[in-house]
Amino acid sequence: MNYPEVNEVFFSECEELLQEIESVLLHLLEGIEDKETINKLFRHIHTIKGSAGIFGFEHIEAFAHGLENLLQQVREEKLHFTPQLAEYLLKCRDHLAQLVECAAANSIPDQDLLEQGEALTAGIREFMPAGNGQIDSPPTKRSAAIAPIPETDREEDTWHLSLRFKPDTFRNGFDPLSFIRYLNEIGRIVELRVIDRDLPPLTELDPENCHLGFEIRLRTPADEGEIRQVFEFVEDDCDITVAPEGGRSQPAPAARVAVGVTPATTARSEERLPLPTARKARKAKYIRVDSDKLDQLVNFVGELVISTAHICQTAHGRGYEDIAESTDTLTKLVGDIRDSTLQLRMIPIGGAFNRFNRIVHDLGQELGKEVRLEIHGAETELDKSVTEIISDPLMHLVRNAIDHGLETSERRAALGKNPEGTLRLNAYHETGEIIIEVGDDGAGLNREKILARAMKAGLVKAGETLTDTDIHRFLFMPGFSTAEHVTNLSGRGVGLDVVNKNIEALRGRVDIESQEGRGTTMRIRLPLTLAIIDGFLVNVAESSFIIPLDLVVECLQFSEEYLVHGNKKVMELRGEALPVIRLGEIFDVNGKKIERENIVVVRQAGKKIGLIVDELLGEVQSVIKPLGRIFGRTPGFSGATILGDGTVALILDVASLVGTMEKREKAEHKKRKKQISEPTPQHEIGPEAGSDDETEGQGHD
Amino acid sequence: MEIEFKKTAGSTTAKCRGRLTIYTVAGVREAFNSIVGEGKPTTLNMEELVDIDTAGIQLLMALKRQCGVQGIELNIRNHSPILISILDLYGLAGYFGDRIVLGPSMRRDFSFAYGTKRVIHD
Repeated sequence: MNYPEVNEVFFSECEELLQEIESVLLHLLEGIEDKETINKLFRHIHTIKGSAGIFGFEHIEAFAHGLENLLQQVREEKLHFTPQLAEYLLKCRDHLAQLVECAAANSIPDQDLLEQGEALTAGIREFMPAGNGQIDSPPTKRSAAIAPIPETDREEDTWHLSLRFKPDTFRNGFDPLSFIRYLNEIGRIVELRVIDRDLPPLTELDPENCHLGFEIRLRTPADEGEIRQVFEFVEDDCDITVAPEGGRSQPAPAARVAVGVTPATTARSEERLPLPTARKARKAKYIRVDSDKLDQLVNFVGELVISTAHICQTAHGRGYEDIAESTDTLTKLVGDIRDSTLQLRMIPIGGAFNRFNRIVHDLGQELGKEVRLEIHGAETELDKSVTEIISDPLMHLVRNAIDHGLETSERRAALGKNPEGTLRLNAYHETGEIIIEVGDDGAGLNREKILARAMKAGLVKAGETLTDTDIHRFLFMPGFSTAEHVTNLSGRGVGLDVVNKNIEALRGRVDIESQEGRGTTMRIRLPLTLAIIDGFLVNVAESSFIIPLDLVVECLQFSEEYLVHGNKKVMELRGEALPVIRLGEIFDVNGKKIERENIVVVRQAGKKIGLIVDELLGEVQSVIKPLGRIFGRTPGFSGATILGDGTVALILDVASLVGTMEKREKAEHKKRKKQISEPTPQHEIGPEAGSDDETEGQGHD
Repeated sequence: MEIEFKKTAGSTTAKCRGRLTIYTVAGVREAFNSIVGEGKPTTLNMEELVDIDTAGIQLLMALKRQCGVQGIELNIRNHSPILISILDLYGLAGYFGDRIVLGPSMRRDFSFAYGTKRVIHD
């Protein structure tokens, strides 16, 4: 059978299963071996084999069949699961993935792939315990381990359920009785045992607590998803394990994979009423959505937001009170829609992080380094498109860390460090941003080396004093590398600048934190959402600017008195020193002097800054329109937006504003220093030339 | 659930009337404690037990087990249909070890497919 749409589901399902198989194998490599994990592995391979059979992908089916036999031996404890076996299975999984790719590309495996398959299959035979060397041919014959099942029971399978109800089950309104009775509706309970192991003695028992567990054998044509669905409502009050018992007699799972299939499929699948979501009952809460459709929805919502703002403003402006009230309600509703829609695009970063389990494992092997991957904050959510874009930069940073950051095990041991290095992936939210860290506990950045390299490249003059930050920034320059050897992966100096560019293109930045001998952390900062912004609108002269609301701490009226005596750039706020920036000055927009200025205090990367503006116009929500290519990446702005009345407001990029300010300050500071420290007259004419600090022997014009 | 105790020198009969469910177990527990406290062989007459749920059967299990530990003879007689039903579903016939009498009409409803082996309480 060959229905392209249905095939699609098969391929994407395979992709997920193969991903899971890889995860499981990596777990098993770490020594976490238990029956449930092995069973999972078996079931995934079994599902792939079965589905491939129904869809006519013989190569996939045949290869999976061999793996299934092998795993069956493990399940029956006739074969011990060793790390070697796990590594070998990883190779097999890769081969299987290649076969699936081949099928998805609508081609047949070429000679090389076929030979690889044969070699692996022969290898599998080596692992098989004596007496089971024969791998019988699929698909009609059954492996020797499974007893033939009588015709009448062909549709049913036996499942083992383990239920452990938690103490508050009764209090929360549930009774195991109703759920277990229901099991008899979807099948037949062949055996049930009540587990009273956790039942306290009568005198100590709180009779309103539930201390009972159940071990159940259930014969049913339902699949795992449908069985689990029975307990959907009591999920939180019960630990549930569902596992198939023994081997299965036929490729039943195929029925689950077929979505909206025509009557041409087997009668068996019709009887089962394949539900598109049944297969994924564990993930029954999700629906697949075309991401293009989602993007379109976000666009529409964006336009909706703008239109609504326009209506709202007009209604208020013309004094139509009743309409204004309605539009206010409308604005709130649209705001809710906007928030929900943007949430749709958020996915946990764990998905992106998990790939690295395999990558770190392979890299470690390839480079002969012992590495352990630690993942924190996998549940941190970020916009889907952002997840895709940071994938490559992350990859590069990880490779760098392992290749250059971490020392070899011998060297580490000699230094008194744990011979196994640690690579840390961390993600968390911080005021409107998401922070992703790639850290290692390796050798750290060698300041001297970088300085030397920079000098060689003419980027630094002798005698110049540089902070650690400055030195680190050299690494982001194209072609810069202190690596002594260039490996396949890194050291060519083409990586970090590209990483930086990609991140900056997302309105983010990369920071480096490093301690020699202790390790390095690369910290990526990214905005949480790319599409719509909650902002605070301000006026300076005739121009409108928007400050991201997430960054705004407070607003107050401003007066010259607040400035710290003698320093125009710092003011005192409740005992704290607060650097201030006049937006009018920095953007060179000056209009009529306004009576009362205002100051907006923002927090950027943990630091507080005050922005002096004219008018405060309140909160707005609007769609971010990127600045045209003409403007390149003008520092200070991260985009523009159209306000309700049609005017264009520029969105401030506070981080880069601060950066520009700092640069200016430094340049001024340097200039001043130069004049103080240089022994020969400089013939400088200008405001600084007449400064109070005079050095001996220096005249001034 | 009301319990009507009839005590003789050597044994006790407890006639249970009503419901043994999450709503009543707290109150019934005291009565069960007294059964254990007195230590005399006891028979629970469940003819008029109208309703029982998991909380109820749990309490009965706790009682049975405690009696086992202390060597007190506990029997359940005249099982009402609702009680038979839960013992059937939960396979607890062997746990309690009592003789369950199924009327001719009831034989169709209950299968006792499992859990009939006597359970040794440790």
